[in-house]
Amino acid sequence: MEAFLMKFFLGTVTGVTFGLVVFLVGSGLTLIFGVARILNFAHGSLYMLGAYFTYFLMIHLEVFGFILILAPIGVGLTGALLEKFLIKKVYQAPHVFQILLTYSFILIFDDLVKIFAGVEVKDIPLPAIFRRPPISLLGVPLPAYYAFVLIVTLVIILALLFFLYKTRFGKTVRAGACDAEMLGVVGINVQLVFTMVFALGSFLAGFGGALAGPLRSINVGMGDAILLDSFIIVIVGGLGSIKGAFVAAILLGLVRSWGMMVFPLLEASLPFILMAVILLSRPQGLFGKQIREF
Amino acid sequence: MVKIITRWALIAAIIGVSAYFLFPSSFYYTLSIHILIMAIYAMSLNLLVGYSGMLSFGHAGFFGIGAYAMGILLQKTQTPFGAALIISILLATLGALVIGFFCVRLGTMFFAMLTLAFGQLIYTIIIRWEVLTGGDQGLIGGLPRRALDMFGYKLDLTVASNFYILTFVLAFLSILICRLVVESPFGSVLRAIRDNAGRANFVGVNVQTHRLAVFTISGGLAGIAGALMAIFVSGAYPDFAYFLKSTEPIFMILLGGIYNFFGPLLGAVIFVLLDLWLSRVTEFWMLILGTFLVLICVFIRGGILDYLTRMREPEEE
Amino acid sequence: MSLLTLNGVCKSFGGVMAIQDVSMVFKKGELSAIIGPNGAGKTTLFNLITGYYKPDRGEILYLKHNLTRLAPHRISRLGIGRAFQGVAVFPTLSVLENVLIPLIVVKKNNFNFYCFTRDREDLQQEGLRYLAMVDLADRVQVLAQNLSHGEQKKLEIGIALAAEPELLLLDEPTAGMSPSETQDMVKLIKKLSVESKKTIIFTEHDMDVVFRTAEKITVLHLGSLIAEGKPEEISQNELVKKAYLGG
Repeated sequence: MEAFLMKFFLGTVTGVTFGLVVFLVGSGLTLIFGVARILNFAHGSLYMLGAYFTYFLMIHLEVFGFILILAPIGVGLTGALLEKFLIKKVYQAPHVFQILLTYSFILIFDDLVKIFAGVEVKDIPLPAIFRRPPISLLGVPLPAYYAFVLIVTLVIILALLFFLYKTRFGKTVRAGACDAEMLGVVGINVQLVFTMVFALGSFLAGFGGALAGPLRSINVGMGDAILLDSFIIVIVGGLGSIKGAFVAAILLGLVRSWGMMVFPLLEASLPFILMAVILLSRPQGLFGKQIREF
Repeated sequence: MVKIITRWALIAAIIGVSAYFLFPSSFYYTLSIHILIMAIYAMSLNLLVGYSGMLSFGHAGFFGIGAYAMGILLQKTQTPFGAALIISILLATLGALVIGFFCVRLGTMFFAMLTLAFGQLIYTIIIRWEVLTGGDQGLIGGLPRRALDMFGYKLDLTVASNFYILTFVLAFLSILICRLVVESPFGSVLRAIRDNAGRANFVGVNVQTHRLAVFTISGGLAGIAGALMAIFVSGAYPDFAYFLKSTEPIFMILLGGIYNFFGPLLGAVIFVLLDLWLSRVTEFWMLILGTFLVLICVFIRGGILDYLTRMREPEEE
Repeated sequence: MSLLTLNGVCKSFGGVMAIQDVSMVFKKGELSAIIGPNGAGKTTLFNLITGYYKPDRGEILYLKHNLTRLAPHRISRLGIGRAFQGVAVFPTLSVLENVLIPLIVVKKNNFNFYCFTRDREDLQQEGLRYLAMVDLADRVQVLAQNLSHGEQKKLEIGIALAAEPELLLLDEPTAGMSPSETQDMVKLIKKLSVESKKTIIFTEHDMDVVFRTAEKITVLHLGSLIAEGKPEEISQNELVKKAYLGG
């Protein structure tokens, strides 16, 4: 019984940790959609880039902490460049082309990664600091790296909230999410705000990828999986709601974790079932506003 | 309606029969079958994308259902060929109906996300249900190409030219269905929904039921393509249902012409020929497709037939 | 005979009372206008009547139907037509195809898969009839997106008419129009009221149009009904003057 409780507790913690990583990525997606009204299908690829940048940097440098900042910045820059040179051109185009554009990036990045890194699955070695016996949390042994990821993601989330609610730029971003046109009217450089939001969203995705790297092995398909998860939390949580995405992400992490323990066969379908159930009763998501169907 | 069918049947018969006799080689038949299957796949998707303004990323899921249903029925049971084909199509249609019910209730963005999610659900089920589907290996071991037994006449499908005839007939019927959907009053309403769903709603159109109807039909047609594909490659693979595989029909639509009825068909022809050539040159196929799609989305926003018809349109005052 | 009745309708959005306890009655055959400064709630009212918003309190009755819980497309089928603020037409469809859409619905052909629209003579003829009503008979094959603004507004009314409504709601029909286009629109509205015997309610900012056209004027201010009556009475009303000039 005790062993089961321990396993359950461990599963809960890892589930929450995983959920937080998904939230990191999903919040970037929500931010970009909220302000620029673009559903960034390439978001999963940006996550993947974060992981692969980390992998390459780990080979050349050894300081994980430094890399953890550098890789996401690289991804943020990539996102900003994509926005500035390509995405900007489709803001006035029909939705079909907007979505297809970001979707095409998946194809390009997948193959680029294959070219530069090969198709084999890679492992990012656990940085030396974390190669230590598990930390004891309330009597349960928790792998050190998990604890680290947990803490770091919480810190980032708090930093994000502080940024959005307490800084001037953050307020601009939130205003832009309500009415981007108005920003221009009051003299703010809307184009710049959009680029910065893309950079920030991409940074978050890249950070998620960098953190997730040592957790499991990395491969070209990892972007797809996290994209799907991001979509699920956005749908369940409500498009445009960061709070909703957070709740949904934790829910997703727990459902996966517990599902793995209790129904290993059904585990993969559980997130979809969760999504379908929420959609039936509340199509706008848990915290979404009542959306017009068209 | 009878007039329409006879008109079309005549044209198709002329094309099909002359081609059958002019190029009687295995290579031609194989190439044409591949093109026809892709044409069905692409045209069915364009009912959604081009004519209804619904961008679906789950289309590969229905293709997968059609392929696996066909594969499993042929490989693991003694179901006669004709029955297996019909069952596979029905299953794909049913899948589209159920999934469509969840997806059409919300706007374009949500629709894109939801269809991707549900498409991946199908993929996940295929991968996990190893006992039935062979897991990530797929249905290997080949599919017995039983003869199609119709009204006492047996069509031996191991002969390439016979399979070609079957595929041609199915492609003809599928394209006819697409034509009817598009040009009928139902099709006019779909286009109105695409242009301005709010306005359509307020002349009495129940937007959701119409979207569900076209989604179901489209999924069923994708199932036909999938079933034929399974026979063509003598197996079914999880890849068929993976959302990135939807790129191929999207590419065909965008290349050939999104707002033109025969655009996807043209795109399918070009794609299969390109595939033949490019896959020998490079394995980084997706990179090229992706770049191409980026260029189309950013600069041209239409395909070959769109471009040609734009040139012929009379100048408006 | 009253066609449309609103009883104590209230609607708020996140704490802001857009419509406060509004009650109105519209008689069959009436040609009336709803006016009020910006933000008075005119479009919100239309949205409530046509089912896009659900009232927080109160009810909306049309003949013997309670509209309060119905979906927009059902309300439309009961016989209420609407032209939207801005322009809501089907841009990539031709002018004729635009008016065919409501006809298709009226004839219950919207799930008809087994004929071609262009072969349906009956639909085409009726469509042409409605286009003639709104003076667009000479623009039949033109794509809606290529029409001038005034023509698009006329087309929009044509679309609304083709759904065979008893009651027509027109949201700012002359917005953005030149003087001659405005004249045409006024003539059209009067024609619809007198010849086609439609009940029409329109919202407007152009007071000239309002006073020339409407038989009855209802005035909204900050979500409440502050005055109602014939044009002469309204132009003398103190409350109305204050609403428009001050407050």
